[in-house]
Amino acid sequence: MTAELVDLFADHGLAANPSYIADFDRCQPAEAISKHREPWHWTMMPFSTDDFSGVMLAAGPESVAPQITYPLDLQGWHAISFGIHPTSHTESDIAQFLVKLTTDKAFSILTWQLPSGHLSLGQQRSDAPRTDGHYKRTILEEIYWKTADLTDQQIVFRQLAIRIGPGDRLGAIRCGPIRIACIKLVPLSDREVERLQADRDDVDNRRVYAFNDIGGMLQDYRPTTAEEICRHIEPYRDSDFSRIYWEMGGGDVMSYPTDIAHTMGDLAAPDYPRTYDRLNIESWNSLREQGIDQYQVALEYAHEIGLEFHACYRAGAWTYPTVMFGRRHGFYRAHAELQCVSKDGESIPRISYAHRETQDFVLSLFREVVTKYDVDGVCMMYNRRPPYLCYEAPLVEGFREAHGEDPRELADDDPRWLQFRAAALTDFMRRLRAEVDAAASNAGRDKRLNITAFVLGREADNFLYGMDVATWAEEGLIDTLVPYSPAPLAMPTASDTWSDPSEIEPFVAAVRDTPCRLAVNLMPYHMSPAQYRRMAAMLYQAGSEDLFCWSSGSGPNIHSPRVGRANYWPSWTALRRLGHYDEIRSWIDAGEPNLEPPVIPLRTLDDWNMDYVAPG
Amino acid sequence: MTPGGERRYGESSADRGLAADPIYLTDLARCEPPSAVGRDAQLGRWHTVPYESEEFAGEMLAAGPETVAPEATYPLRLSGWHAISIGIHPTSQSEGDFHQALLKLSGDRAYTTLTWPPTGGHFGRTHLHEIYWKTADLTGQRITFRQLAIRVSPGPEPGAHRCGPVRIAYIKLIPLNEQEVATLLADRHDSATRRLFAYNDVRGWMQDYRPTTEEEVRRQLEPYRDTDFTRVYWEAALGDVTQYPSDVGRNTGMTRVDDYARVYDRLKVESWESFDRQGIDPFRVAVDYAHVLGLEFHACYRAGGWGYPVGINRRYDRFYREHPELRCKDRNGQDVPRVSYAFPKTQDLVVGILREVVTKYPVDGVCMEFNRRPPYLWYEHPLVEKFTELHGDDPRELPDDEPRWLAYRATVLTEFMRRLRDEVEEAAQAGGRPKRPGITALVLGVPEENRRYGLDVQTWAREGLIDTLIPYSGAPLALPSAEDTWEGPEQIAPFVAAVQGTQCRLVMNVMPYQMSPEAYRRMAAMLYDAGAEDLFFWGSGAVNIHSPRVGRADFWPAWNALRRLGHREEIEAWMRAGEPTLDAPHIALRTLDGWNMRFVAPG
Repeated sequence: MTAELVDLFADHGLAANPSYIADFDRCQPAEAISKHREPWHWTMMPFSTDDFSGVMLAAGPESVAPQITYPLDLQGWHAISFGIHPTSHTESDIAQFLVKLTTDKAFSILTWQLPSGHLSLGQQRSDAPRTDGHYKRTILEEIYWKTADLTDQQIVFRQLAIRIGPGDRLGAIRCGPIRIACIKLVPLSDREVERLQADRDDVDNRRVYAFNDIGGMLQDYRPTTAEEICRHIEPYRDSDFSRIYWEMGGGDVMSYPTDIAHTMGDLAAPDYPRTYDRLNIESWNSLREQGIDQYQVALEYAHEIGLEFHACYRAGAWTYPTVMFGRRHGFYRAHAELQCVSKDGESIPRISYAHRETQDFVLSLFREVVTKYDVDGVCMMYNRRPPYLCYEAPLVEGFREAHGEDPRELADDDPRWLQFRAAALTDFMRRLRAEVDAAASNAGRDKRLNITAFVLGREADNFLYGMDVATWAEEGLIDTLVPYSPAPLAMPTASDTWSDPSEIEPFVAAVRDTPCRLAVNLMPYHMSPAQYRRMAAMLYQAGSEDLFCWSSGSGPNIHSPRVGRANYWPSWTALRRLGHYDEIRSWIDAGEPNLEPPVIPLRTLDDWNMDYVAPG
Repeated sequence: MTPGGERRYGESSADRGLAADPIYLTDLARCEPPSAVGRDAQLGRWHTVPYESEEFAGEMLAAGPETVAPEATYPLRLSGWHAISIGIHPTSQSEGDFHQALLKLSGDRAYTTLTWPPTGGHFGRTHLHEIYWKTADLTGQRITFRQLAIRVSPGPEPGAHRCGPVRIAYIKLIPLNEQEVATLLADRHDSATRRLFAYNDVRGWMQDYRPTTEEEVRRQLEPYRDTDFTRVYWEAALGDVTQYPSDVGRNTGMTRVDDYARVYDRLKVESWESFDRQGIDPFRVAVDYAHVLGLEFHACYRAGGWGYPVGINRRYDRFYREHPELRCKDRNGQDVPRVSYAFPKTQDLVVGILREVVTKYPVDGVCMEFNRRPPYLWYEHPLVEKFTELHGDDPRELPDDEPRWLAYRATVLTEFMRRLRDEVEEAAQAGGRPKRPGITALVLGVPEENRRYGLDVQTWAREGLIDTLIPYSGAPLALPSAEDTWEGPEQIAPFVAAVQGTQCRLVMNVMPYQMSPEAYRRMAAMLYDAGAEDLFFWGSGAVNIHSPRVGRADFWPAWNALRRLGHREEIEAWMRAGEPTLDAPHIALRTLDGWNMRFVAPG
């Protein structure tokens, strides 16, 4: 660490005092604002704190408030944060709003944490304002957005509104209730601007990778415009993220317009097992009707903001229990002969990669993606729904021929059998390498495409399911290895995290002396900023060269709040700078100073004295 | 343990202890009418899903979150008494916001709302879960299922209704022999064990379920049938907003606005307006049905419900806004967002509302809810002046907890309670009631806080101003915290002392809302031992959709324990027996719709 190293977490380390803008009654157009609650309007709500007072901008869960602009009239670089008055679960499960600068091509989706509704009495510092449960409504919560040059810029707000039914009737559109109390600006000195720009230009720190499964985005937000797709890439701008892994599909259902397989539009049903399955398909159909290819939009926007774009394929997504997940099983049902088979000859709800036909089909999908889109790499996601091959006839016969024994009579973990089975998947990976190289070459690419394998986080599990990652790395079949987490079967359990460097060691060993990079996945999804920093430090120290963030999209997901990271919580502010190992080290050496944002106690809100707290 | 206690213990938890083997009815495709059930998922009807478990196979009845599946009736063709349970395949949070289904016997006047936890995630979906419903004479009866569908928007399109996704796998029946029927009926007639009191704030289910029929009102009371519950406390009003058609206060329908702070505020107003258009008074329906079920009906008034901060429907605060002269004041003279009981005008309104309730409805009692939103009086002008006159000191210059000031302030609220007693009795007499209505005070569970906020419960009990005293919980300000329960008898002792030697019954509120059946039994035993005569259950209606932490009448194993918590001897016998598990059976699924359920993995 040098004397120059300053922690650039949020607006920490900036010399100037902040200014607070709280006169939202200046927003334009004026007719979009009302003094009383009205549909299609923002409401003005007076408030006061110890330090300042103002008029906040509010909208309810059915307001569908329009776009509105605050005229900044400022020059130069500023760190920008917002003070919001947190909403609660009873108002809505959506705790998000949209904001952008005039020239931004996409809105940012800012999120705050809904109160748990349960107090932890006696567990808070007595000198700190209470911020949990019912007390959460007595504070303003600060959300750091970004640092930008505000010359000639204005700030545009929009309520997040998701259509769930047709028409304009109440209930047809779900909105994120919101109360924006202030814009906090900290101006940067020339020196600070210089430092910031140097930091952004330093590519060495850009070693964090994002993943987006697309499903979450389409299901939750029902996007129908290109801008809404770009919103899910915008958070990575000017961050330590250098790649985005964007799911191209899984099994035989693709999330791009394909000539080979099905698309989400083919999954339409008269009655859906989950409402968001309907929203997903409505979104897909709307985009297609307008001629918008969300995959192309995402790829171009990623490239525009300097991210590599990698196409991911979910290896085990051939079928799901129909009752809960709908009709995602065309290929699976049509190809009973390709299904995985247990030791006892029973059919297993998976398609086997032991069959050449399966491999051919999957390879053809990659060929299509590489040919159609200017992707920088492809990724096989083996971290979900193993097994990928079991006791299928070609394997059983091959093993018997090679070893003179029936593998079904051996122990499940007989090393010869596991090695034999792994060889079959390694052969598929060889074919993938060759296929991707050839397709890229045919498409006139000047650079070899990167191949990533996303695998389970336990060496023994990988071997059990045929993933010989060391051979893949050694033979150059993969360029990036991403272990998921030590949770058995990658299940969302308490062990879905890395607790010790020894858990990483087998993967470090697997890529040692190979060009393959190790990018360990950070789990769980949500941690405090301090925990993110500690986890990153441990993983770097253990030998991870880069970091991967499974489900790092905007969030938390509305339908699954456990998932999603690009949420602008303090943890996101830490996460988007996790490539700065030196910064993290110096923070640890400094005794891990607090990274939580300030809270501002509210005195009054709409004339209501906020000192008195009580349940209903 | 008495022989009677032993006998009752044997049959206490759901269908445990019955001699016969269970019968599983798994062919739910037989439900009628045929138009209500199909093979494939379609809006407006149930669909069937074949399955195999370790013990049997069948076809379950399924519907999704937008299906709006109609009534479907299973033709039982049985006679005699049976314990009835329903096997469900648990749904998950990703399928819907609520996990409930309706069912009733042909002779029932209201559906029962069965609830299950959304455990249909990766591991939970591999099992069927059993929910004990009730024990009934099935002679000539059929079972009717209906999907719970809540209209959130007009029109027929998807999105206009929110439905509870549901998969009903089987009906389990255990026939009772003659001896078992005799024991059951004797137990149901034993009034000594009926010492549980339920509470329903009304707003919760109107917001959640948007009821528009009398049957939907009755659903809220149906769970208490044939249980240890003997009273239901039903919220009549809060502040100046009433949950019945009133000439004194404002009806809930008058809280209509154009743009609501919460969607369910809109649903509640729409519900109220629908009742109003049809001439249905939900309060009347509730009183009548409670009495049909043999429950006393007590009308509650939320003492501090004059207004709520941003994020909650502001229309509740009209009285507060229109009467700044009645607001509570802090020692600096600043407004406190409460209306003060120090003013006769406030007292007049509150007493007027409760008097109206007693006059209009055959309620068995009234209840002041002092367990929410203190203070009820603070440093208002009349209090300050009178105290200064009496003691020569300005109370605003004394410490907050100065005993003379607290004692003085309490006398004002006690005077209000005297008025309430008189007015309620007078109204009852004027209405020709043969019995004096009971008065209940629901208070905070921390004695110091009661003193601080002017609630002199000892005087109220001693003077006969209240007949029932209900302390809420050990949580300061009754906030939902880790302390929102009773840790031990020492917390109960001050309340036992307050009612000692008086006619007032001590009824302890059981918190938190949701506990395991075992924890419920242990808590009840502790409270009885500590001196509670009866038990009270705040928020004991069906599980709230918007706040699933709240609600108890859910038919989970915890409800099976709860509805028999008046059986003190049974609880003691269970404890002596080593507290055997009270959990419900789970049955492993092998296949579901041809899918091998043994392979579990995330997405």
